[in-house]
Amino acid sequence: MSDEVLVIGGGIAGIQCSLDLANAGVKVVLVEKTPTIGGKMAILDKNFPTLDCSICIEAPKMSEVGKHPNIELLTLAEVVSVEKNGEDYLVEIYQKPRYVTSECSRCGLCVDACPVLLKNEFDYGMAARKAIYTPIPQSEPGAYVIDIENCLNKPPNYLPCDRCIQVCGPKCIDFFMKPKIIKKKVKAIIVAAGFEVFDATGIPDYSYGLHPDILSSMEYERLLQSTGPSGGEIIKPSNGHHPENILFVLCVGSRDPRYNKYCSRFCCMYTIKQAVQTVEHGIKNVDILYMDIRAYGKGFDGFYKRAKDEGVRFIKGRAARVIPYENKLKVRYENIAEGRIEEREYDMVVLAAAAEPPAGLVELAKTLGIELDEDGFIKTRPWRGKMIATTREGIFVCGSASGPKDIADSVTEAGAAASAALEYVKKKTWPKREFEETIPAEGEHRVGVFICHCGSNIAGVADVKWLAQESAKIPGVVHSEDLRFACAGVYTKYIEQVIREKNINRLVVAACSPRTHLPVFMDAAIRAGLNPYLVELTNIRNLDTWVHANYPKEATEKALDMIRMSVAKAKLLKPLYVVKLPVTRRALVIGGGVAGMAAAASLARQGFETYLVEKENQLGGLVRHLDVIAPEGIRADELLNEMEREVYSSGVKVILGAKVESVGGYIGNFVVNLSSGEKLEVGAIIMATGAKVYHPEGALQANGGNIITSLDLEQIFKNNGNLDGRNVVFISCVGSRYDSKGCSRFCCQVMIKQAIRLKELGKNVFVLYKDIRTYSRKAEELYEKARALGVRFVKYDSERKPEEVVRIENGTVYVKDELLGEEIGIPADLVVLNVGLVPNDEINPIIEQLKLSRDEAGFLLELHPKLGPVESMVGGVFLAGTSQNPKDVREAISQGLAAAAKAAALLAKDTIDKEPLIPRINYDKCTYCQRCTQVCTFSALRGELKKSLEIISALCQGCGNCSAECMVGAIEAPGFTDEQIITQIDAALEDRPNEKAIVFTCNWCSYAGADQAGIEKLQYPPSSRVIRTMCSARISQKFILRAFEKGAAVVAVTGCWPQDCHYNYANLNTERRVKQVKKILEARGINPERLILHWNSAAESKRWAAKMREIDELIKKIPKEEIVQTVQKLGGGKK
Amino acid sequence: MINTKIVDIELMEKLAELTSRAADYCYQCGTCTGSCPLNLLNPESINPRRIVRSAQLGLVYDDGNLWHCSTCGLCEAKCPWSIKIPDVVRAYRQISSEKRKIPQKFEEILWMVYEDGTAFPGSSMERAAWTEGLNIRDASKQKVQVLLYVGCAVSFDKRLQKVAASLAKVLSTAGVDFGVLGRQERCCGDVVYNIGEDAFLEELASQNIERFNKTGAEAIITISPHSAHMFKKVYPRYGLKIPAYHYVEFLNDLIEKGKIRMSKPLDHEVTVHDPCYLGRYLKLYEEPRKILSSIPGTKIIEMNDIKENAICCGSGGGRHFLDIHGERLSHYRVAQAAQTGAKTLVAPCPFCIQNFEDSVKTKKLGLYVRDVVELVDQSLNGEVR
Repeated sequence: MSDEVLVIGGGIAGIQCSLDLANAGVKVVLVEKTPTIGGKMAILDKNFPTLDCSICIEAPKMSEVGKHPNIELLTLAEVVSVEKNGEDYLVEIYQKPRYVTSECSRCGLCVDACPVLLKNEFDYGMAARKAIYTPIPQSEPGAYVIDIENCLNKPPNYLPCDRCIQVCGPKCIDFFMKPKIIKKKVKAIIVAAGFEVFDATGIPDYSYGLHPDILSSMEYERLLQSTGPSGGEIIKPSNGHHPENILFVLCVGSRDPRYNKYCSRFCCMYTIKQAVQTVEHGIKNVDILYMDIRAYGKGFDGFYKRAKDEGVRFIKGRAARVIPYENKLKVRYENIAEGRIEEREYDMVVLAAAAEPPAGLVELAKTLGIELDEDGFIKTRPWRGKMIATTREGIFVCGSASGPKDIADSVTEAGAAASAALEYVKKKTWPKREFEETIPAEGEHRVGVFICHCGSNIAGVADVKWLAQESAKIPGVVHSEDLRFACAGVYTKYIEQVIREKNINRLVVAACSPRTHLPVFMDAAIRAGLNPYLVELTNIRNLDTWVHANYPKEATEKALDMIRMSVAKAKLLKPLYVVKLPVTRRALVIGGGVAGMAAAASLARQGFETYLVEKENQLGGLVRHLDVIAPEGIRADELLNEMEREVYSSGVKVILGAKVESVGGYIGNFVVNLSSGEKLEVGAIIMATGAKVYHPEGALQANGGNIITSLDLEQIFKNNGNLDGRNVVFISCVGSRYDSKGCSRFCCQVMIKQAIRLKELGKNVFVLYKDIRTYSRKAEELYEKARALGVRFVKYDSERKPEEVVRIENGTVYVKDELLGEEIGIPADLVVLNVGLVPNDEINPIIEQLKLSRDEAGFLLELHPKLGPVESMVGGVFLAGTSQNPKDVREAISQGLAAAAKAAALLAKDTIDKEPLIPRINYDKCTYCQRCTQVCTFSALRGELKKSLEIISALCQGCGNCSAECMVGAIEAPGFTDEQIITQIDAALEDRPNEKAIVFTCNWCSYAGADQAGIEKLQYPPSSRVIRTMCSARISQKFILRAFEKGAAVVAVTGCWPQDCHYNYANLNTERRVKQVKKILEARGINPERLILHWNSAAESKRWAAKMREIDELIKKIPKEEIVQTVQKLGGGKK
Repeated sequence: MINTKIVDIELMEKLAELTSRAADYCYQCGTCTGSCPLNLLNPESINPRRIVRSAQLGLVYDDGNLWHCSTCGLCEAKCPWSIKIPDVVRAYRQISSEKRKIPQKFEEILWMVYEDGTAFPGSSMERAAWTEGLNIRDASKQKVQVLLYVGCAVSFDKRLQKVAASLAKVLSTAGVDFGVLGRQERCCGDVVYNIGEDAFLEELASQNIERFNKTGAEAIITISPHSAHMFKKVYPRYGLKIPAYHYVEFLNDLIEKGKIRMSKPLDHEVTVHDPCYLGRYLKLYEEPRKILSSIPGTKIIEMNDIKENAICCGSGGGRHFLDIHGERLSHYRVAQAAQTGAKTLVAPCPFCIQNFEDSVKTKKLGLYVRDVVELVDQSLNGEVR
């Protein structure tokens, strides 16, 4: 038995936290109230500022949770009691019955049969669902669920309705399921209970609920979502028409003492995102009413600017009233820049409603014995220098449960909470699955083909009996059979048995999506003694019968093509084995500021040998120069003392006064040389290298006298220094928020803290600002306190640098007050320049040696701005604190801890496992031309021109981009080899090729989009033949040419939108290659229009179907002779 | 710089003191401007946010629109921070008054109050004219339990005198021991207060308090919410100890205690306007409605924007006395009332009644405008309208 950790809440914070813990070898019990994990993120359309498709990037994490052997997922469950017992917590969890077993194949027949129509809460009531349903297509767990309260069989009724049971093929509906009490013993508890959206009916002046075209931001998000109630169309719920003008209203229920005093932190950004999306939907008049734009994060200001450039109109002001008026909505507000009231008519108004504590948090807190703060969020306190501890030992909080947070900040805190919990866990587990391969892969091909009915989903359209007969005729096939529900437990056992009995060495299943179901059949193979990489699953449901329901004959033929393609590929499959890489189980933290100290101490507490290297002769970094930390109000020296104690008592090996001279190696095996002469061998590196305080130059600079920086002022406070003069003026954003320089995040709250201090010393204080960005917990309250004390805030032009708009002359500061609309002069005895942070350039050599990337502003670039904020682009190297971006103390500490959690997962075992997708180099063919090293986006290939080439398995992500780039076929991508792809092309085009299109898809977006089109039953003609690879960058020119040579009418290469690419923009190479082939085609007199490049996100099902229809139209337009000519031109006819 | 305004720390502090630091919390969201009813008529009317802004920065504010504010308090009601914006307006008016920079009309009114004790044309000799034949006691001559303060507008306006007469009848019917000051009554000083003439207000209030005290009355009731506000909220600063009420409070109490029983059904539908000084200033929203509900056959149909959201008739804050041309707020309000379909608009404030009757005539609407007590009187005495 290992030590377990309980995670409460399955939103993105709970998911990430569970994964971080599980990957570090901890057994996790994840408890979620609703029928699926995913939380709010799963129902968002896109994320800011990257415009990533939200569910596309979250779904892989959701399914990882579902499959993880260390995670026990309990949905429909709530914690009902918690009791401390020695070092453990004894927990009781109440789990409601789902009434559907995990045998559910998600065929959806029950939904059609169910007579009860209800509001779909995942669509915020804007669409319907049945009493048996799946919340979202990507639900995890995947089994459907019965809403028993609304089901006709609600107890004590005895089965008055059994329609769903009647149609359920796998017989997985069970009305006799009972609620369960599950008892667990855990070492630590993490609360990730999230937030809820403020009900805007509480503000009568905004008329929410009185008119259907006044929406909350969440409702609007569902309208944008292509799987949402309007299929991604922006329409007015009142009449289904497209609106011409839309107003977004910010701070609805936030920053308003009548509702919530605090700032909800993420509304500004998601509103800007929604506005940009709205513009992109072709709606021209898009207005945002705002008080301050709080674009505090990395890339946020840039996104804000983009919105302005795209025509979104930002109006400073606050809506006084929204009045429904006939078909329109009249909105009255003061346009503050103009200084006059305006009344405009809109077709639609979107209210950015506040984030509030979730329902039931009070009871949960009571059960857990933890305290809430005055706003009802979970109260945090510093513990061992960590700011994410609740008021009870061993219970931590992450995400919005302790106050609103965006996805990136929630993910970071999730890691931090995991790291804190890891300090309690002593025993780790690595569930092993031993299996013996008894069936040899070599020798004669013995292919087994199984065709699934999926109830009537497949069998209702395609003739499965005929398919089984025809499949039997394919050379190499020794067994062919149709099964009612191939994935159901009884049938997988049957498949296992057939494999064993008939000595089948290649398994082909024609059923549903490999993205969801391949592991089921790989498992069956493993149990039977067959290497799991000898299994092919072809998706004749989502890609065929679901989308060609009206063409049963053509759908059946297409299915046969698909089976032929799979059999052809299967015959060329080779057994593969998970790659094991050695790991040096030691960590190095570079930089001894708060982020580095937190990371090092936590790793050491978890039992890892950890080095902390600091160039100064003492720990503390920038915080060493501070007096009091805002907004928490903690004394800096007290925090540092506590953290320092923690660093030393946890056993961190601290090396002071030393710098990293050089660093080499890769994930699991780095070699680091220090200026002190020491040489360290470590498996993970945490870059806590900090940032530098901006040193103002030019028109506004400190003079050591009556103009000082905020850091100077902090020193004066710290040393209790003298401050003469009565009138003090702060100038904010000195060195921030212009060109590529973003917001420095922490400065507003620091400045306001200082202003309060000065006010308390009896000074008159004026603050010149662009936007007040007190987004942090309790920072808005600090702003309120400053105002209450009489600090005066003067807004200057946010589009310009302060030195351009502020003049200091004869003891007076002149500036145009944007609120008054006039220039004012403020008497000033002291001017404080509020400075932000700039990147630390001393670490340039390390960055180069580790091949880390920098962002636009020069800070270290994270793996993904939302879901990978603490990982770098380089495996084994993690980012903590201000090296990644300016942040406040609490955030820096959290990031340090989160980085520690990631490092802990890496260092937890002697080896790391990798999927066997790492390419093999054929040195007989390789010319060492280095083309592959240049395109690899992970620097996993290294070499010297005409001399050498090596692949660093640890860095490789398996996209196959290198293989496509290789001119001589010297790089083989396992599972997606040239031969395996070509054989599929050939098989697909065996019969009537001129009526078909070969469509290449990537695994993550375009294939998933095609899957989704199936789920939604979007109909399109059956002319496409899909070939899936991991990334579209795997598609070589030769594949495209081969398809044309074999007579394909059209070839389409599809993939993620470049910003969604799962391989760090590898698909930009796809674009380049496709363009190149188009040139080749043109040169040979072949119409290049027949080659299509198409980006399609996982959610863009409609876009997919539309493209397939377009391709079909194109096929019909191409004369047969043209295709014959093409074949001849490419030399295909000769053979 | 010619147009540069220089922050005056002293002025900033003075304004802070005059307003009990009202402007401090303001984060300049502009909800006040967006809510100001005067801006419904003309978007250029007035910008309360900029007035508050000027106070925050200690800047002079002497724009003419300072005097257009009706001090209705809707801005304050809508302000997220409930900032007392009318107090900031009054503070700026006070500063202007100190410099004698006030509109000519107000200068005249102040003289009238100073010389004749009335803000409305009339002589104090005539103040009690309306009581003739009503058998109302003179509180300056004999002790009464309850002093009925009539106020300038009611004393001199024929229409409004009917309200006073109704109230007197109702009080008599209920057996209340009450009287009026008659010729001795002087202006309550609402207009002086709103002009910001503080020194004069102090003198006037002290004299009034002395007169009230002499009567030995145990309570004061008023017909105008403006007077009620003065006696309840302002006079205590100058030493008034006798509790003051607007008559709707007093009447409601009598009804609840069963001292008044209305038996004659009126069979009509009414809509209720909440006068600013009765509603937002004194929070007396329910009393008029309770009284009306106890009249047999009376059905209340509420209009849009009621209680704390009520739209001002346009008279408060001294605005009544200015000749402001163009569309009027009372026009807007009677239109809202007419929309309900009710036949009677009830407005328990003399200023409101005057304005609404004007607007009803101008806009040719078939509405009666009545004070609450007039309807009570009707039900008691069975007068047919």
